[in-house]
Amino acid sequence: MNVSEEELKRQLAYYKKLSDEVAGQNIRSDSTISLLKRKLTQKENGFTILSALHDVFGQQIHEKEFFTNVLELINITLKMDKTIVLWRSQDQPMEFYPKFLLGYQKPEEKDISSQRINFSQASDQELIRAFLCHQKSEPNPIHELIRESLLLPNFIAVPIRVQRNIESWLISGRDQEAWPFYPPLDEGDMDTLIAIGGFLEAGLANARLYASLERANQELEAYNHELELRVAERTKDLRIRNQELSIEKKRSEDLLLNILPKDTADELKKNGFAKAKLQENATIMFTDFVNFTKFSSAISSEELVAELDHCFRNFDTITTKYGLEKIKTIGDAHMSASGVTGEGGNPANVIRAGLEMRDFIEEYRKQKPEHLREYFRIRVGINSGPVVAGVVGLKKFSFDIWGDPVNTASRMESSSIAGKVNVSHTTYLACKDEFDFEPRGEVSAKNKGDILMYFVENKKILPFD
Amino acid sequence: MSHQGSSFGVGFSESSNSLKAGMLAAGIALSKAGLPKEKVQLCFLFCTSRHDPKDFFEGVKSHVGKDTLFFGGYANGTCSNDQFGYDGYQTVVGVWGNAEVSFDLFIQEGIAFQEYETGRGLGEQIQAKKYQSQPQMLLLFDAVNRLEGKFRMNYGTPFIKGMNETLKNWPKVIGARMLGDMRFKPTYQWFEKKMTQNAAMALLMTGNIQMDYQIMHGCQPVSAYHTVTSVKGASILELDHQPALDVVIDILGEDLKENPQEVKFFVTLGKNTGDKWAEYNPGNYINRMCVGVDTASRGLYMAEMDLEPGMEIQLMRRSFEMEYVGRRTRKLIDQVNASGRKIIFALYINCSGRAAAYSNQTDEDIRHIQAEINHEFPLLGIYEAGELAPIAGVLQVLDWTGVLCLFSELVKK
Repeated sequence: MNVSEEELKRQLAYYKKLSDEVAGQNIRSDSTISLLKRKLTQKENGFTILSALHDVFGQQIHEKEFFTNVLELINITLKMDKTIVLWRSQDQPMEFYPKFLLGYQKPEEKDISSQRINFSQASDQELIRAFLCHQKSEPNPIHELIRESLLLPNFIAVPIRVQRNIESWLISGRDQEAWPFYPPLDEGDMDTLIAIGGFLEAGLANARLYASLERANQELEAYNHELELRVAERTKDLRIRNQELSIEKKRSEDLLLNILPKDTADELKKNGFAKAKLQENATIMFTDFVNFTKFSSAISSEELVAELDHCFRNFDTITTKYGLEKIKTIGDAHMSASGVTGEGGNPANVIRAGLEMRDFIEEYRKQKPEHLREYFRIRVGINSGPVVAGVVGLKKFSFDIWGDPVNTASRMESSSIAGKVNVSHTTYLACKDEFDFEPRGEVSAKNKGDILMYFVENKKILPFD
Repeated sequence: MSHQGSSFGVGFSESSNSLKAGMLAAGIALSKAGLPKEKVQLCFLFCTSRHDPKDFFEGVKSHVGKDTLFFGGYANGTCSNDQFGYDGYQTVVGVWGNAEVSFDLFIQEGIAFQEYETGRGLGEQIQAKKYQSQPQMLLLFDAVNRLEGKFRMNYGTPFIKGMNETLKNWPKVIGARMLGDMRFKPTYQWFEKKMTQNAAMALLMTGNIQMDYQIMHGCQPVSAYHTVTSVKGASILELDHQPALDVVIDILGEDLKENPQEVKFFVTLGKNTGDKWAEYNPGNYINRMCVGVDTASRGLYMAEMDLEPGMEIQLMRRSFEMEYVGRRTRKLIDQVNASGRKIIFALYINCSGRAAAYSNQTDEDIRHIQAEINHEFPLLGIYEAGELAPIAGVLQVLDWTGVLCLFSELVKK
């Protein structure tokens, strides 16, 4: 079949057109697929961010680190050039200032940091919803303000709420719309950023919750520390007080023991009273200054009392040395005893104490002027026998002994002579091997009749002993 | 003493802190190369425009020696053997030491509006070196001219023409036109010890070194042939004596009349340098992407200004088979290995538009390169705005392609 040149030209044009149509359809479908894929990828990227954000919620979120990471995720994943978080100003509640930003060059960062954005419209009504601004957006003062202040021509702004109040604004955008790689920002991009905003709200709540917990912990720690310091201080005080108390207690006890024998004092402390008890093996000693009445008229009362105090202090030392219980002093007389507190008496120690008291006065006498020497002599009398010892009455406790041996001991003293220790027969019998006794025979004693008495001296040590 | 071979290591980082990113990437590269810092002879460094160029440079510098030479610039994305990314905070650093190679660096600044003159100047410098044997050359130049605010592409055709007029013998060459993002923000370059902008620069290598490359095509012709009947610079004013934009819209769909700007960056024209009626051979095609439309003159702004009246073009469909990328990669590796050379590292210069996020692909071609290399040797990759490689023996700026280059050396046993 012959085909004319005209026909061939028509065929060529037909196939050429057909070929172009197919080419066009293919290229357009590629383009459409590519565009859809890009939108899908953008969505996927949004989900990638949300998933990454979701993963951090199981742990403590630190505000700065959290926002820095989110900004980086937004810029990289959503292909944004700049992202910034504006925070509500404390001084000017309608104003927001840049707190976190990413994508700005260093000199830009400096300029941006001083910017303040007022998110209100002409009617002074605060903006409360996310909004979008791109090259084809209607002119709007807030758009222009953000474009100029934040150097961001195309952006999406999303409010971040904390307890329903707008705390901050997330603003993310691009310097340029560059078709087809960076098509104009659209509602889909805004939905993604709103979703991210939701996570930021939760992140902020988390960060603040942890921050308040941390604060509470810190306060608790500070309080604990303060408490520990106080306890330490108080413990120190208490320790001091305790030490003082112990000292005071010891002083009181010493004072009590000074007044009462230990067993009696313990019983009194424990029960509030102390029962007087029979003591079978007591030895009682009386001392008395000779011519005391005359002496008291020779010197002043103060001097007299000072002299008595000096002598009795030394007597007390001596009686303590030999384990005697001081009972009391009556004027110039000093009364002490052994075996009155429940422990067995020691008549020999009483004699030793009496001799040492006598010797002390004899020595002291030598220190006195001649005209006073006659007054520094004592009589000592000692008797042994059963007595009742204890405390009686409710007030001003004082330990005392009662019984006939006490009276006999007193008679021994009054029947003694200056510088001598006079003992009864009972005492003599108890100690006859330990001292040198000078029998005085029966001597008359007031209300007692004639009773055997002995002067006692320490045993003389012979050269052959 | 026998040469044990070069040491090369690649480090990748996506830290948003530029200083830290530089330090991290350089630190990893150094560690992988097993080199002490003072042994680094040459350092490749690339990062996206999201980074502060000064901080990034300082970060890298802190991890290499004082005698190290620097060669690199902005990229829209980067990759290593097991990581890649684009349009974020990606950086990549490659360190090279123990090389039996002489590295000569040449720079000609001021390429904006002066592509031809810059090409001539750079060519003259290289020619003056009077190489005795054919060197290997990596050529990089700034893609972005924003001296007047508005974006204008720095064209490769006049630049190459300028070089061609001053260079008597061309080195073996590949290269890239550099950009830092798809918004075409101003870019930065690092050269020797300094940081600069608006420059074209060349790394010439002589000695124990050889480059072998493979162009990874990605477009197929889908339309009938149309004849360019009028051009002005890089703008095609007419096709088949009709306004070029109208012809393209007629083919793609009338609805584009409403939004003619949507034509840019998705219309690619192909120039078949082979037999026009023979079976499709990707190696014969030079692709030119439409980067803008002039609605007043109804013209198409092309990425290059090498389409002239009388030339026939076809509309190209962007669709490449990932298996093709893998197969070509393996073939190149086998070819170099078969020659008894040891591969030091691979450099992959990929078109930014081929990234899955910007194309209708569901996969990334870079993954197939990585898989095929499978850690046999280091891989350093960058996403740029035009790939430079010879087609039919003539250096061309290519659109929508990838250029894989293997750098190899002879190792004495």
